[in-house]
Amino acid sequence: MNKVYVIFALMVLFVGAKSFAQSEPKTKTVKFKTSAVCGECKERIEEKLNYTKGVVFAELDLDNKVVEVKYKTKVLKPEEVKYIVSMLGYDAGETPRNEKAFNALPKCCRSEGFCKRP
Amino acid sequence: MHKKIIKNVLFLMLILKTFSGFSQERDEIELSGTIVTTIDNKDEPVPWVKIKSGSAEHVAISDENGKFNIHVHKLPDTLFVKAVGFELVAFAVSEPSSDITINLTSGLMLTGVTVVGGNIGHHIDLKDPFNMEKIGQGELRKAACCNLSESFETNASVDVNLTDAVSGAKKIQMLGLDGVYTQLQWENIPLVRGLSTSFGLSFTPGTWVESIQITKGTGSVVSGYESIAGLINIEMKKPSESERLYVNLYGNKFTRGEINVHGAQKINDKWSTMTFLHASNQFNETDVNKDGFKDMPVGFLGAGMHRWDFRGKNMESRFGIKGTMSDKVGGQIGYQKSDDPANPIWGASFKTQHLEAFGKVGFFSKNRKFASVGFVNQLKYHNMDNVYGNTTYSGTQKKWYSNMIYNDIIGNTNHSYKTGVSFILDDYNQTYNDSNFVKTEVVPGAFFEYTYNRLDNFILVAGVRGDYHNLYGPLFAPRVHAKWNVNKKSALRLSVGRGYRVPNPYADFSSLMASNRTWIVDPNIKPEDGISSGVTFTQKFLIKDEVSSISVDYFYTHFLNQFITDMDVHPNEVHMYNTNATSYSHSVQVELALKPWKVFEFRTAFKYYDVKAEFGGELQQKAFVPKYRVLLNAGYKTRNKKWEFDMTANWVGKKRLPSTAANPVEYQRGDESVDYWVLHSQITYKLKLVSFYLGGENLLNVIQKDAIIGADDPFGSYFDATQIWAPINGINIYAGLHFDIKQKKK
Repeated sequence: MNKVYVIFALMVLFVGAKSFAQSEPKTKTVKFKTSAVCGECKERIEEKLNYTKGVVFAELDLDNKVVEVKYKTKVLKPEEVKYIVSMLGYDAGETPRNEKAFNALPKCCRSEGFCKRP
Repeated sequence: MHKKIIKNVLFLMLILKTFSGFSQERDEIELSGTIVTTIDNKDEPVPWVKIKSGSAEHVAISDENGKFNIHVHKLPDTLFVKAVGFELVAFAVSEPSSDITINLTSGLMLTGVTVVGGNIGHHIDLKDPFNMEKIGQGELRKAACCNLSESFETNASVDVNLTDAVSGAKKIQMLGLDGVYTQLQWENIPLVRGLSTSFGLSFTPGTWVESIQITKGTGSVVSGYESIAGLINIEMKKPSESERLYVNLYGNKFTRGEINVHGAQKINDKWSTMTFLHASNQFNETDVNKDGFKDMPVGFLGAGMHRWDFRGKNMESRFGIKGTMSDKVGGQIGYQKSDDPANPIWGASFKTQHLEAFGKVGFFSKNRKFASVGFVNQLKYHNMDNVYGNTTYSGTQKKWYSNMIYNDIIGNTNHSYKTGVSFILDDYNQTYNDSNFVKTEVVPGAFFEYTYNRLDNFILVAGVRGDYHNLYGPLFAPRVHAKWNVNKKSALRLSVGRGYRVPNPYADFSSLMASNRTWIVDPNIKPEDGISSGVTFTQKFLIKDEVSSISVDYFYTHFLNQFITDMDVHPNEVHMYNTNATSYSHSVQVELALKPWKVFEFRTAFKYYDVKAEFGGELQQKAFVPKYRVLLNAGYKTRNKKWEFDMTANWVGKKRLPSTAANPVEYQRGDESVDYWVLHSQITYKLKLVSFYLGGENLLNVIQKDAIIGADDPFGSYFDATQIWAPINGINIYAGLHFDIKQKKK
């Protein structure tokens, strides 16, 4: 009997969430600053995000290091997008970088000089 | 009264604005530090090095103790450091600092030419004194098939033409002049030269190429005395940076299949190696234009290369081996399958073996920081056996090439020079039907090139070289190149230079053997001698933060002596002889590259060629060179970079054709070709490791009508398969994939 209640409750929640979500736009764009340095970093961040489910596109502007991500609101939240970038070893807005991933980055992406691709 | 107040207010605003402008400039952040290089585990300061700010376009120069100080607009910023003998280094700065240390050592490089890697597409540099265009990976992948001759498809400066209707070979053209006047190199080693002139482009698979640098007019004297119309240098993929594993497959509707596999491996910090393999095969005989002849030869081409890179502290080396073998059969359908002596079939066969070993080594001086010595060596063996109907042509070429270059500065990096010596040995043994030609060319040479560089804004390169040819005596080639950045976004370039070329009458135009024209070759051969001069103006501008550009160039080439190939004397003959009669080329090119949106690129070029020489005793436009050409190229990339759409259209104007008036009516052709459009398109879909492509060539299905003269009687005297001015095989559809696993970067 308890199980039935749980399932019922879940269904209500689900339907409710769905009807609530309908009022939200299907896709949204988030922009945040990253600690990217060079072309190599740009490629790493863009490739990871572009092949993440729910991302429509991701573009990083090397002039101001801001990444622009258009995402499907049903699949992703902006915090998740930032988390993904931080797990690559880059600061993403207010989300600090993952140190382990940062240490595995090529030298130039750690701001230790020598970038082959400015 | 009111007017006066308004005037005053306006004046005040103007003053305020000026002041705010000043104060903005005063907002600059000062950075200072030292440029060093590691010698024997000690950091030594590097003086007279240029440091550029990424944000402010300011330039600073390090003093005699390697100290510099530079103003930047904002932080974080990137400092770019370029020193002679070192690679361009970018150094990221995030906080104001007065003791930045930039170490140049891990940026050691052999050639001194910095190739910007990654996915740059088509690129005209504003900095280089030579009018150099670069074709990068992005651009190369726009035409997925097959070898070097297709790599220029989307480039306006190089035209590619089919040489005849039998061999399937393609030849390039620059400034409206035949490909023989363009010097082709790979990593500064001779590439297509001597016996490989006719088929050489097909020996370099497109996927091996990292980038291509195209210089119009004469090139640097360091590269040799050749290059009258242009210099093309091809950078192959490098062991230290390329994919760990790369696989490419290609197939098209004419049953041509290709496979490319290569892989690079970094063994340790010093050593890296890479292996390339290529195989392509044309399986079935195809005859779209129904003339009884195969449109493309059937057969196999295999190529391989194995190379090593070594990067030591004061020494660098690159060496390896490269080989090609090709066995193809062209001509009438059924040739070599049903041999009936009563009813002979006209056929052609092309066999080539080519093997070369190359080695480059560079040393950097411990005491003189800007001094380096480079030593380039190549040993090559090339053998070919060609049959064109009843004509046989075979030959062997053995080659030894050496070039030693010493690089240094005079006082500071504003003045630098390159000097050195070169040595070429070419041993030819050719047989054309019953005639045997044996010659050995030995050409020692020396060169000196001085470069004056004023803050990269004005660069003057003045070079001179002298060579002594064992058969033709001294050859003296002075060359001057200059570049001036009129402002930050525009550059003006000038170049004047003299170049020579020793003709190889049979090898250079062996495609003309696909006809029954009698060869009348003047045995008294002299080196071709030409002066090429040109002016180029490039202006960049921004559309919504994206860089667009317009570029205009004019080149004039004047031949003092030319070895002319004349098909206008008689339709049954081809004459080749020296002439110092008027022969010139005027070429004008206007190219506009627009990037109105981030995802869309558009490029258009208009070309005018006035290429005249005395053909058939009359000064007239060179046959098969159109007066006008137009190139259109459009590319669209979705913002997530998963889809790419590309389209290239070439309009080729009317071409003059050699006169066939002396032939019987059924074997006559017009004096002029008709103009036509060739349209190519390609769609690419990228996944993380694999990308798929689907493309079409000649989508408007342009086919030259009755391309082969006398196709019904190929052993008759009127047969001629060399009068080709348009595609002969209609629409082509192809598909394939790229698969790659990248190397881990450190």
